[in-house]
Amino acid sequence: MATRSERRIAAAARLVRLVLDGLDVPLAVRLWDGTLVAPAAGAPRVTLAFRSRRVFRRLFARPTPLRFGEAFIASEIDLEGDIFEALRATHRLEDARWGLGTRLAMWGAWLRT
Amino acid sequence: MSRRAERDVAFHYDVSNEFYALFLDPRMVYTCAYYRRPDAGLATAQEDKLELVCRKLQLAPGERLLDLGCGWGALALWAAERWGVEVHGVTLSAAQATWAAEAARRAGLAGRVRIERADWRDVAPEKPYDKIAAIGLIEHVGRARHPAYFAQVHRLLTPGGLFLNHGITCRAGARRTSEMAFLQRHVFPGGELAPLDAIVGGIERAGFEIVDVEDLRPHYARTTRQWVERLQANAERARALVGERVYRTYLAYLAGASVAFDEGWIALHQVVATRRGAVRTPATREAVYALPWRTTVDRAS
Repeated sequence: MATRSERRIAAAARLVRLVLDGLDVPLAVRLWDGTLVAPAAGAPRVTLAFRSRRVFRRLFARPTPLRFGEAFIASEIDLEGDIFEALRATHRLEDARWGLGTRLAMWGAWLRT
Repeated sequence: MSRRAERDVAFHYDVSNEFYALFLDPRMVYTCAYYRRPDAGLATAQEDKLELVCRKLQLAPGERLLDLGCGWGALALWAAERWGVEVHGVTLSAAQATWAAEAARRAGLAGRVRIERADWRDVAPEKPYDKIAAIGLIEHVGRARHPAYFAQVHRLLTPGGLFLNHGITCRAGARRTSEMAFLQRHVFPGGELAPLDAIVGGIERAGFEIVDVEDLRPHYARTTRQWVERLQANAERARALVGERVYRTYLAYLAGASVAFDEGWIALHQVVATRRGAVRTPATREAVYALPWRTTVDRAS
């Protein structure tokens, strides 16, 4: 049986995948335990790295470019690779319109992280 | 002089001259370059931009040029040295004013270039200028003050004189994004973009005739990309000078700007206008491009 931290990582990976699938960007996310969540199609050009579950939960509760930007300058998250692609990707969050089903799945996953 | 404007300008431009030197070209031009040749490096493209501005303003020896928001003085020096004009450069940043005045003195141009630390509202010459350039100032003015700003430029310019306004524009009807909030909070307090129609309309309503409009958007995408690459190449020095937070703030803002120009979310427009009076503008654009370009050979940069 999976431990609590394994279940949290699995939920976080599920949440990241839901977000990435909607954005279609060459961006991967590395979770606080080192797990890499890559986009479904194509090789990622930049990796967004989380060092703590706390920061992950805070940002994914309401992901916006402003919040990612502020976390980046505060060194709460790191970028490895093409920084331009990271900025292109976070901008997509401005226009992202997820359906109700996806949003519910996201919230469900977020609550389990 | 507005205290608030002073504080806002100091927040960004007084960070550290040494820090800006890590990613700008040797002339410290902190605005969109002009890549006239596809293989041009940053230093050449910035000189070509200075040259383009002087050409669009049709500078002639002995004329008086006001450079509003003169930054580190690159245009003032270029215009005085290559075009033989008398330049009054104005910036609200103390760090820039000191640097620019020193650069003019070193170049032996102190007699023809006067740098003053002042607000655009407080410029009060004995007589109007023949030409006025405002490169990258409009973004700091604030839309509420556009009418006062264009009226001031109109007052400062002689009838028939030329005004070149170079600035970042947003799309008409663009909604406020959270990226703009990031910029206002962490990078450019007091900064505000306007769409081209507001700028052109504002200039016209102040009593000008618009004579030329050019979009340099792809050039700014490339300029900002080069700044990011240079800053990243000097990461250690940058961190030592300004700390991790400011280093990361500039990386994010410049890379974000490059993407925004690349995608067309924002643009860079040069607008040339003449104060109504005796019309001195040529009938075609050939006058701007006909002269041989006098900029230096390309340097690897």
